[in-house]
Amino acid sequence: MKLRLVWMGAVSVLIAADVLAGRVPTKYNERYQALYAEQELFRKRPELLGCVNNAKDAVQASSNNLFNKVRFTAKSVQTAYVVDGIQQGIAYQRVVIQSEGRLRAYSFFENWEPAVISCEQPVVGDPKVTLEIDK
Amino acid sequence: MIRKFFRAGLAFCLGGLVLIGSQPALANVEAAGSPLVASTLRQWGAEFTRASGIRTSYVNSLEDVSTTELFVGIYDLAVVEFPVAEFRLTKLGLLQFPLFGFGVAVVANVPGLPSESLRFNGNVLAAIYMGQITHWDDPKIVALNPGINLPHLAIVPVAQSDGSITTLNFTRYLAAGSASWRQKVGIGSGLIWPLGDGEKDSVAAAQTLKATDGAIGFQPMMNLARFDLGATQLQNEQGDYVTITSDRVAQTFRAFVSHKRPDLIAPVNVPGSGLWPILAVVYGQMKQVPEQVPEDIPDAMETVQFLTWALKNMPKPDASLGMVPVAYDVVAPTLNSIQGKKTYDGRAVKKGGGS
Repeated sequence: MKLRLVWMGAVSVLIAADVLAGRVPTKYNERYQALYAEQELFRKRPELLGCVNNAKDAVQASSNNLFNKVRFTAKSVQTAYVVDGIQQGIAYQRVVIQSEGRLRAYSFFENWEPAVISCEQPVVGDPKVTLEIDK
Repeated sequence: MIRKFFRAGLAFCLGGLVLIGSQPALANVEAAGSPLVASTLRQWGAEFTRASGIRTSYVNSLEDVSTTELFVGIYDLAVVEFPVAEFRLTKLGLLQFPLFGFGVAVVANVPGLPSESLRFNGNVLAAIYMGQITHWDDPKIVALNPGINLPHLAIVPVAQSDGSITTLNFTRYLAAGSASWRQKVGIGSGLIWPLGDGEKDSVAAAQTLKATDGAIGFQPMMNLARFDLGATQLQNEQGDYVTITSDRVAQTFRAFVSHKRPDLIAPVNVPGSGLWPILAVVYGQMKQVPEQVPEDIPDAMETVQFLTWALKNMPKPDASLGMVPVAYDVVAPTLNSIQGKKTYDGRAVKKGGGS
């Protein structure tokens, strides 16, 4: 009985600490907000679609990544930008999107951090995707 | 009582059968995608059905949705404005080919001046959209248009935030001509315009352009005739000022799709004499290996038959439509590869089942 109370107390303290640190979603519809933000990206900025898919693939494909999941916020659609360039005669398109990434960590709770997705897609060859914490 | 119940059940079942029987049969060639080409593809489909008896349908759909639904086998042909990168196509087992090209025109509404007589380049247009040039008699516009008596009239830049390829490639043209635009505003189909929100789509923008004295904006070529708008001359990659015509757009489209250019990310400022500087291309997508799903084979083959027939036989859309279909020769290798492919990952596919 005592042990159970100690466990419950410890878990409560941990949850309270995580809530205070902003790691626990306190809005029940946060997941839908992220889904809505992604749909907005697809509807208003279809040119970003390739980068969104590449970033999702990148976090799922490699265990070396900082994040294991990405999601988008309401400002992603407004702040994302595209740059065209040419390097050694090969044209490329760089897309930068502000998003949130779930840290790859052994934790009971989800730690989402502001992240920047950067995709470089040359006309010839494979794309390069980088995900970094937005400082 | 039981008999009554049985009779009612039987009547219900028979009624259901009659209803099912009266449903129109599904189309053989089912396509989905960009609303820009919907009327042309529906017209082609109707002609093809008359000639071959094979039914076709076309549904307007969002970019990603049409590609995904093609991938999962709901549609046989997806039509997209934003091409998918090659590595992703390979991953999804899809083929992509150009289908239509159309010009993006700059439209000006200056009372007493025909739009065709006005000249613009990317740099001056960017300055207008950034609010640095505010009147039609600004020295920078006068310098591009010597001999034209420009009025002291406020410029009303009409923008669009519609997530379309027209907007994306127009901003590409501005970014190519102005470093300031490139750094401060950028390229995008739904970006935040420096002078405030744009119109919701090209139709709303066309109506504003038509109704507002001093307005300037950009439009897909097919809207020019529809809304009786005049297009200005634009400076192309060679530095020449050119007017938009169907022939010029067709020539630019051919130059862009005939040779894969590693130095071009989009059909904007395609190098070549007399070419139109802003073009948009609509792409078709099909499954690369329909044999993987045996029931898809007939539909895929009929889709190839439809595209082949349409590109060879349909009269080219007239100049007022502004939409140029691709030459059959350009897409023939891709379409033939669907017909010829009988293996998947090097393994032969058995008729009616897996590998």
